[in-house]
Amino acid sequence: MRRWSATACLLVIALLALGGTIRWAFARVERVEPFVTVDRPAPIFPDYNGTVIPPNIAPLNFEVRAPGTAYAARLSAKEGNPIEVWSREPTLRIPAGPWHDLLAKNRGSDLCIEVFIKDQSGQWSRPTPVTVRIAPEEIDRYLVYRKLYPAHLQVRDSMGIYCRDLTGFQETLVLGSSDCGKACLNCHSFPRNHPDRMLVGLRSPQYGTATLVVEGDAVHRIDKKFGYTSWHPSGRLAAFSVNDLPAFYHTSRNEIRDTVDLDSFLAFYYTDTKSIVVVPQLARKDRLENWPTWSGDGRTLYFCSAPKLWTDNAEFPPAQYDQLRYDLMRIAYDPNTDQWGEPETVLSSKDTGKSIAMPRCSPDGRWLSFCMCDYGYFPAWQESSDIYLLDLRASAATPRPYRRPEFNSNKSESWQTWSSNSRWLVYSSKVQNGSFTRLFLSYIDSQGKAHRPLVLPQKDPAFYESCLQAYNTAELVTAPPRVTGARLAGVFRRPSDTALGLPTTGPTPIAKPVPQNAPSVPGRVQRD
Amino acid sequence: MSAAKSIQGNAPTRTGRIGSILPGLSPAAFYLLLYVYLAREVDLRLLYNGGGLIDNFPTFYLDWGFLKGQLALPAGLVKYLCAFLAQSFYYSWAGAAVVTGQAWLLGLGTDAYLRQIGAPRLRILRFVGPLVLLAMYSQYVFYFTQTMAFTLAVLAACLFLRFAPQGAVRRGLCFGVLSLALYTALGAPSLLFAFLCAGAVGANDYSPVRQRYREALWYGLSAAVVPYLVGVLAWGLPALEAYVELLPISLGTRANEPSELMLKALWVLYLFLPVTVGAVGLWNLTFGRRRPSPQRVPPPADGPWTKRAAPKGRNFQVQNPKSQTNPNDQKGRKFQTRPAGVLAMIVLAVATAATLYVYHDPGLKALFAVDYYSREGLWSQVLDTARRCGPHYLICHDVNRALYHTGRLGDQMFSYYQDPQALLLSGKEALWQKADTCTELGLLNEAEGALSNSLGMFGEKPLLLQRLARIYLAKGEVETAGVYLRALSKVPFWRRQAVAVLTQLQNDPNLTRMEEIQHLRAVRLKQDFVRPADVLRILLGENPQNRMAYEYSMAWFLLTKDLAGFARMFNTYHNAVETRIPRHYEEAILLCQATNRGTVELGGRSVSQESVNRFESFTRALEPFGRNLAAARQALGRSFGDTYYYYFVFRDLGAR
Repeated sequence: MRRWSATACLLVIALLALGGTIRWAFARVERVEPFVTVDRPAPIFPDYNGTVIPPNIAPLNFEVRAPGTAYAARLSAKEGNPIEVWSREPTLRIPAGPWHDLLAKNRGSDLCIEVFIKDQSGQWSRPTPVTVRIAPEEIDRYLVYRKLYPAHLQVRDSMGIYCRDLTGFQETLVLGSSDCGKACLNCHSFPRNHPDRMLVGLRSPQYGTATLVVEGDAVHRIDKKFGYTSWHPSGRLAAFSVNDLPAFYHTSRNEIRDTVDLDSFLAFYYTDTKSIVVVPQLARKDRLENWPTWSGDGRTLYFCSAPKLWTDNAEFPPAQYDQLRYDLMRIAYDPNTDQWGEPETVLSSKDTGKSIAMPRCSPDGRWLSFCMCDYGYFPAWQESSDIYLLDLRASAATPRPYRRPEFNSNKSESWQTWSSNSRWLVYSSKVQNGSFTRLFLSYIDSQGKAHRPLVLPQKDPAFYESCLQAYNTAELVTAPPRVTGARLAGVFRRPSDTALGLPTTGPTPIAKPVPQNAPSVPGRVQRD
Repeated sequence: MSAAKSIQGNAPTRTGRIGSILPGLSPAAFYLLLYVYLAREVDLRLLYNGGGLIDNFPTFYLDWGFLKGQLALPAGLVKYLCAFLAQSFYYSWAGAAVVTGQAWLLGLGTDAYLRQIGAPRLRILRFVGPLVLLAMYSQYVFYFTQTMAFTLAVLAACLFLRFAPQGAVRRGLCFGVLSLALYTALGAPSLLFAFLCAGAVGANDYSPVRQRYREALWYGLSAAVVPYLVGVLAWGLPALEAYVELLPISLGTRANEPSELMLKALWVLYLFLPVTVGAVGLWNLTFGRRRPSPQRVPPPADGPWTKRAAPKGRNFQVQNPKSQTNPNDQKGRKFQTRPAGVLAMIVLAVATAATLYVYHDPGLKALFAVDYYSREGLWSQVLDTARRCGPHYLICHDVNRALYHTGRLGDQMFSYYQDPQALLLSGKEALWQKADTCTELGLLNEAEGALSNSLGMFGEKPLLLQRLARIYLAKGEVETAGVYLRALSKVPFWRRQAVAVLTQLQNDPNLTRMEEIQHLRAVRLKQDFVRPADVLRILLGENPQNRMAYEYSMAWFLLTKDLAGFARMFNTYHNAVETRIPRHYEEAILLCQATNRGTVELGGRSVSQESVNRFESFTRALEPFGRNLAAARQALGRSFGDTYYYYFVFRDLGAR
């Protein structure tokens, strides 16, 4: 027995030694000098040139898209030791420790990335270095987002809400659809970038439709569907929309999915009394109120509203679905007395010619970002959607001046969220590859200039090139959600402990289903 | 000592030789026949292709990220292993080899376990597992992961019982570590390991009762604790799920829930060994002590596990007197004596026949096969298979497609079962099957919707990725197509195809030389709308050369008995796509004339005399029945069942 043990130990040691030798042999760094400089941009992917990056972001691994037999990179800045990486493969991975040291010492400065490529003849060349700016302000460390297949009308086990530590590459599951009876996971929201409170909407064929409310370590289930939700900064109440939002298909447009807000209003959930309140000014029968968002001080609620253009609910989609344009509205709120003012228009669709959706206020109260697209309430499915910024401190001229940041593309940009210091805007864009939304991080300086964004970095720089899932509904938070996984799912699977009713109006009756008398027709589908 | 050697030594006679060959032959023959059955009759590649009916066939990527992701899942190791092995189903022969190998291992493990518990007479039960596998694959369900987890749990139990350390404490510790490792690798099926070990210890009657029960209790306790420790605390699973992950109770494996029959088979697999060990234990408890044991080994001081004399090293086993080989007593060793061996063979043959009788379903095979053939464009096989099977909505859809592709839709569609809703699958949600027909017609968005939703339902199946890439290429969304193609390039067997298209894309971004894409772009529906509309007519309006849209439109009018619509469509588009009048069109034209439901402008053409004569024969034959259409349907079916007017007259009575 002893001989066996000794033999096994020796074998393990020998294997380790062999592995170490191989690793050393392949990992030894080559000298890249002499090299020739080439006057062309460094062919790196993702292209980080000119971006502004958070000083606490994960290493920006990249791939050199040029033929070669070896690759090297030197990352340097004013302060600190440069980082040198080398590989026979075109993918260059940057060690996390030195990376974070370098970034921490050079906030507000430039980071220079020199790329070296060795050709077949053994000659090294260096294209024009890539320069990225390290922002002085950090981004909130955690990003909570949803991952799903682009057509999420049928959910099996594939949908999940994840939390990513932006200082590295660790992604943890907050809640998966498979744990909740193949539920569709709807939007999640936090007050003021803090995860102490959280709302998540779910819809499952097995366990019904509900909203999970997390308050500290407590979770409870409300048997009501909260639509788009925004927490009051105090965390005392949450505004949410109640909608009837069926989806339908286009027969020829490139983005096949579309949706229309058949009827909607805004309601408020009070955490202290666990009650839902509807404010009549925000639940008008002749208007479609949607997308509530609180201002940084919690004294104003911004939302989108459009006149309801149809009276006949039997037709689906209504003939005017592509003429529906939302205005940006606001209503004053006094948190002390719980009193509401009267709604007023901030930006009219008549002035912009476009429909406004997904407004989000920066926590410092300075900026309001929003999407504008040709029509409708759901910009993620509109190629025309771009993100705009409105300076809330600028004069109240009519129309208010708003700007279109340069990061917008000819594809859809949507789903923005602000960092707690109001310097970072994370948004979804389909600019990379058409159908799949990816998350981008853009630095917004004190003048409101949006700097060139970077895509949410991944350990494998080519990750997005074969990733079949879309990223959306990103929310920046300062800490990971306190309650996740089995506990959240467990509460969802149990019957509700909170019985709540909507006190006043509800959406108008659902349109009748489309008769299927034609051989092949687009039709109404329930959107998840 | 093996039985064969024993008989050879004692009786080198002719009957002895046959007797020595037979025991080895019958299991070998069984596994050989199992292999042939799986490879030829079941045709396991049909499971790989899935037919839109199997939603749990695993996705597998040759990618480190995928491996890491799988290993992070509960029971990730067995899931990864099974996903890898399942790729062999791409080739029927390879898949059959894997499943037969699994069946053999299952038989081997069961056999070893039965010997460990001192029940060698029950060795015929080693075929229960393989028979359950036979039943499952006959029903085209995919429980590979569940059955593999079971197999590994049984093998682990046998290995533990065979090689565990001698000392009770060390054995207990070894068991604990193995339980943890097995639960991590297999999930809840590892409970079976604990149960079998506890059963084996409890069932043997050679050691003191208290000692046995104490050890069995420890095993049972670990079975209760380990899922909580690993499943609930480490993986964060809900408590119930931690105890049932991958067990039959957690099944939800097919788009259509598994049948009761199938679940019963799986339960048989999971329960037959625990039930056997329970029965053996009960038997020993009741009768074991009364029977003198000729070779009773006195229990050692430290437990029932004694060290064998030779060879050295890992040589520990349960010393069960009943499992000791007695050269003079060959009963219970394989199919040792001829009467017992023959009886066992008969039992096995009967059990196999009974399993096949209950589970073999040619109709199910036809459904999967037709889907596979149509996906591969093997149109003659589609029609051959459809001819041999009963009416089915999805098969009807594929038959029409096959007839269209072989240029026979207008001539032979009423030779097969017809259902108007099956033409474009507009009656039921059949997303997987819908995609190809919609693509070919030019309804690219509808195909994209069907495929995208299928992706959500069935997972990242290579076929779906390939079809989605094709749609996006046709729509000019090259970047999106690239994402699907790059994902596809990581799937075994699909890499070459995906890389070829990616290379072509680099050289020719518009794919001008890719004929299929150019064709799809030409027939693609251009008009955008969101309301119900007659899309076939719109397709034809946009492109009168769209032959498929024309033939499907005509088929639709025929199936819905809309002769006026048929006549309008014929008059407007027939000359643009056809040079002759297909048989069913002629029959419809004759009906139009007979019923005055539409005026067909034949131009210079005419209906063939043969069709006219046959129609006259039909009307003459129908006349005597008057209003008794039911009798007429039955009487005329043989002569006119493949004609359109037969369908037209009797469709409402259930004519096929």
